[in-house]
Amino acid sequence: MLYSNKSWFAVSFFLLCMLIFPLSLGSSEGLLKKTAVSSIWICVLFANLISLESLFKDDYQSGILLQYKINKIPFSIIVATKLISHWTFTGFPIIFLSPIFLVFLSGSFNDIFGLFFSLLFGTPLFSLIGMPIAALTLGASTRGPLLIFLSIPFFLPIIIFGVLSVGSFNSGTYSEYYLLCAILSISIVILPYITIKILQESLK
Amino acid sequence: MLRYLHKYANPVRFLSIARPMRKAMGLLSLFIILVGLVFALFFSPPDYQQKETVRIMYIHVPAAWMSLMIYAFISFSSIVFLVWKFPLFLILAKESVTVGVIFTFSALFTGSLWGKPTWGTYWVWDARLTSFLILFFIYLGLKLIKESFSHSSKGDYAFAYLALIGGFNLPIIKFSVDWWNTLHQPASIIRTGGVSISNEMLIPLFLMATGFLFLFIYILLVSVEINLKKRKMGYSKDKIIN
Repeated sequence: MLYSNKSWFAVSFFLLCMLIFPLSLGSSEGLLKKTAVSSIWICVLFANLISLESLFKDDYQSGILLQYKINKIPFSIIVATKLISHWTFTGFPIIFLSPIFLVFLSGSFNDIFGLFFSLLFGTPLFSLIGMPIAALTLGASTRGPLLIFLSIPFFLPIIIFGVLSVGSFNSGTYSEYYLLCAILSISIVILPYITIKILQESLK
Repeated sequence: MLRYLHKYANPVRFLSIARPMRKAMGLLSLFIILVGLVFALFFSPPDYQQKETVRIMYIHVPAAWMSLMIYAFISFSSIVFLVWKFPLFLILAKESVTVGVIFTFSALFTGSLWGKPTWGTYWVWDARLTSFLILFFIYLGLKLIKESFSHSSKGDYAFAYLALIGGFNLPIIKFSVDWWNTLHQPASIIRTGGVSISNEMLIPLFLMATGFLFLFIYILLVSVEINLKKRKMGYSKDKIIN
């Protein structure tokens, strides 16, 4: 009734972005091969940016968040559920789709496992970092562009470590994976808590 | 000390000390910057490697210090606002953003002018330059969020929380970019093992830094006073609740 099911949108947007790279980089095979991993990470970034907008919007506008608050449902449960569902519909399918697209983008087969693990640690971080920013912009006049502008700077470290970690997987040093895990474990403690605070403020 | 300062969180009392302080700061910053410029342009020696272009440093380095310091100030004031709900600190944080944007931009701009004769290029994707560019965009984000909630009190909290998240995230961003690439010379003033440049260069540098600091305080006090007066007249669009 209240929701139209838009969860497929992020993944299809990811597939659409995939189309850009072969077409814009032209027919030069070598260039496409070198940039395959980076282009997949850029598409993941775009898919996450697009899906962030709908994270709290429907609940906020239809007043369901307020209903939760009146009925004293703890916000920690709501935020955790939102986080898990957001990751399941944007991060999780992309992780399994990306090795296939690495082949389509004529990337090397050696990168498949590296890419898989870097996305496994990186995509939850996108959801985690995007969540407080999506909560912040609730009620802003031009929300979509603002959300994208605010979240890109905070997504940069994940892009950097994500792309670097694929290279380090083949050389046998896993330092960037450890860094991604470190950022993930810090974020999973702090950011949901900040999101809860922001949501409570936004309903006052 | 804290109890003594506490009463100045009241905007009216704050204005009573801000007004004389503002005039003093304005004159002081003008005087110190002029003296510093004279020292920097005429009395300091040219670098043996970089020749006269080293004089760009006397604008570039203080501007970069100031933009980092202003960000720390914004985060600190936002935390004070979120914890103790003093509206004055939110106004202080909000009014510092524009000054921060200008200092960050001037650091980037002078840096790129300095890069041409020394590195041979205006821009390199190097760690420090990149992290400063990201800082610039975070400042712009703060400025955007400040202006996109013009009619509700939610914007105040959104601004404060964004400054807080940025405060946590800046070290991570800085570290990640460092990890990614480094070409810029390492810090040569504030480091373990003492200062590594000569006194003749250090004195104008510190004069310029203090001058910029006073200039920031002056601009901040003027804009806070304007903001408070607009608020008093009911002219201001943005509201501070409580």
